[in-house]
Amino acid sequence: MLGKLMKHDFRALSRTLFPLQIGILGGGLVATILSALSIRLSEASWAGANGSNLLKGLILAVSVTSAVLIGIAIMASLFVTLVLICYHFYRSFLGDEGYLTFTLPVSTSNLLWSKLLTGMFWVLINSVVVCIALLIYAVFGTTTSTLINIDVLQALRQFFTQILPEMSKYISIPVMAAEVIVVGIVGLAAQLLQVYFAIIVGGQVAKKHRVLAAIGMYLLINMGVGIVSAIFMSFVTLGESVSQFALNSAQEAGTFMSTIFGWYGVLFVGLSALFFLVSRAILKKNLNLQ
Amino acid sequence: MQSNNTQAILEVRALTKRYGPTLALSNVDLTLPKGKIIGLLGPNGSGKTTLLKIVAGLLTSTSGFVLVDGQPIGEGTKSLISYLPERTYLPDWMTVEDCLDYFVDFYADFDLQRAREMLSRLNVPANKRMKQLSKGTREKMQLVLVMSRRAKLYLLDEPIGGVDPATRDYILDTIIGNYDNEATILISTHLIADVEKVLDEFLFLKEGVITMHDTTDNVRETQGKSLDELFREVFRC
Amino acid sequence: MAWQFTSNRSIYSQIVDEIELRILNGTYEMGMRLPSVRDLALLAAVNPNTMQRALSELEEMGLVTTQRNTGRTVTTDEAAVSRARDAKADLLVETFLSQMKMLGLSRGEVLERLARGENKEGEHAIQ
Repeated sequence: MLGKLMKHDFRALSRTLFPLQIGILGGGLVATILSALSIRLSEASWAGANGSNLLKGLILAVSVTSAVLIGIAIMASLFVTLVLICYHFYRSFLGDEGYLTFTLPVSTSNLLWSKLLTGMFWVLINSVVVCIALLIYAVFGTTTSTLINIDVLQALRQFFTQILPEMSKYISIPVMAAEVIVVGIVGLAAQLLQVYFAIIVGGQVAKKHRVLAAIGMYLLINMGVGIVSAIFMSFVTLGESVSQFALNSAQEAGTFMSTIFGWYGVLFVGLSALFFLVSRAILKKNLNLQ
Repeated sequence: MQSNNTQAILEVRALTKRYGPTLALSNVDLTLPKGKIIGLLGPNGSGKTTLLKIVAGLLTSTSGFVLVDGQPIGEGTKSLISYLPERTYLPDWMTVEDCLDYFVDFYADFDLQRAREMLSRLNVPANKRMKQLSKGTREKMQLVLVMSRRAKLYLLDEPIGGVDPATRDYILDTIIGNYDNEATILISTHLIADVEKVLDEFLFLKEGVITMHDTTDNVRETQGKSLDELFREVFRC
Repeated sequence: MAWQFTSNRSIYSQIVDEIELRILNGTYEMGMRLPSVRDLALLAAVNPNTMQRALSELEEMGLVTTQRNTGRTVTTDEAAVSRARDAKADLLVETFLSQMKMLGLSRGEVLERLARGENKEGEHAIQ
């Protein structure tokens, strides 16, 4: 049943999120073109070429402003993606759609899992799309002399040929990469489950302004999570640095970082489990659909 | 999805539901047999919707318990129950085809063929989105989905409330035409005259309390009056 | 058109009467196959269970028979139909006479009125 739930959640989310990703790529392309144009125009004016400076200035201003705005919009799309995912959650769990959701012969766990996995999938897709849009911008939109910006490509190559090998002297790159991916994923899971939890609790405490209640709850929970994380991590940091590392070599510092990172993973898994279990308990024991 | 051989499809014991200080259901005891069409009758605000929502699993009770085919409310009972709420609950963006797909995926007892036949009789095109349908058509569409399941217990909340006489006839025809005599249908309504001919039994619900549970024919035979007349007497303001 | 029912008798017995009447007056011919319970219930706009119960009653009365292959049919037993017709007619006459008695009419007056009524019906037919 989880597969079927995910299929329908995916269908519901794709309806808005797929066009959004296309929009990001399109916007990225437009920003790249505008930026490339304006750079060339400004170069031309430096060279003192003929033509109206006012017109050039105008074109320049418009192009730069649009490019900057589109850039901001692309960065904001992560937020929009999150909002759309949460809105979908809100509608299926607290809205009229809840009459459909909660009369399905499926377990509460599967309902939550489906929302979590499809939400995470779209956040990841969005991240990849934003990276691609930024890369396109960096490569094609930041240079005057040639079509592509060689510097960006060289910086990328340098990262793989020099920086990574240098880093690998102190830490294991595959381990680090795996750690980044795993901790990133559980961190994302914890974040989404925290929002879902806030929406569920918001629906429990408020009858009317449920969205506001959910936002308030989120901020409140966030404070709690901040405090718990700070306490947890300071114990971990203290424990690790006192017991194992003298931190007197770069290699040890690297290992230390990796260990701390691992503990963050543990923290996120713990938070995820907590949010998941409490959400499920509320939905099972105290569902009161209006 | 094991079947239970007891004769009761629904057993409710000492069920109470409070909304803050308001008592919506008070110590309700109820046993409904299999294979009957039963009216849950009472004026607005008497607790009909609350009772149906608890059985459907959308509300948790304050105290007491409910068994559907011998099982407590949960995943298992939800596969046996086909529930029609008062409101339109299908997402706006879904097409008719999406809705059919949804029901096919989640309900093993959904009869797609039957649903398609009924929809074509209603002239609802498969590619229409819910938001493009009129409220009335949307309600009929929901009824078609709910009645196309071969469920053991149907819970229909005010299916004929606020519809014109032609639609009311369509709805009652759909209910009768899809009824299979193994199943029990619980219909809540305050429009007694319209449904009384299709009811085997009825329950009177007054301010959260079941005040009467009898067969429709028995009322006519022993009291010489229709259910509608009896209702008007019992619930006189 | 849904069947009409009065409120002071059970729906089930009114359905029995209605179908019986249709058989006696030939609307449902002898040996005719009856619609299914569901279709009859839809026609009458009543509960299928009630229709089922009414049909069982008609079977007991010998007006309807059930065959394994063909479903329910109207009986072909003419004796059964005429017995039912006699019983129904006797019942109606009895009711009629007792009501006339309540009105204070003598037997002779009742017969006279009946004859007049018959004549009127004849006149209507000629016109």
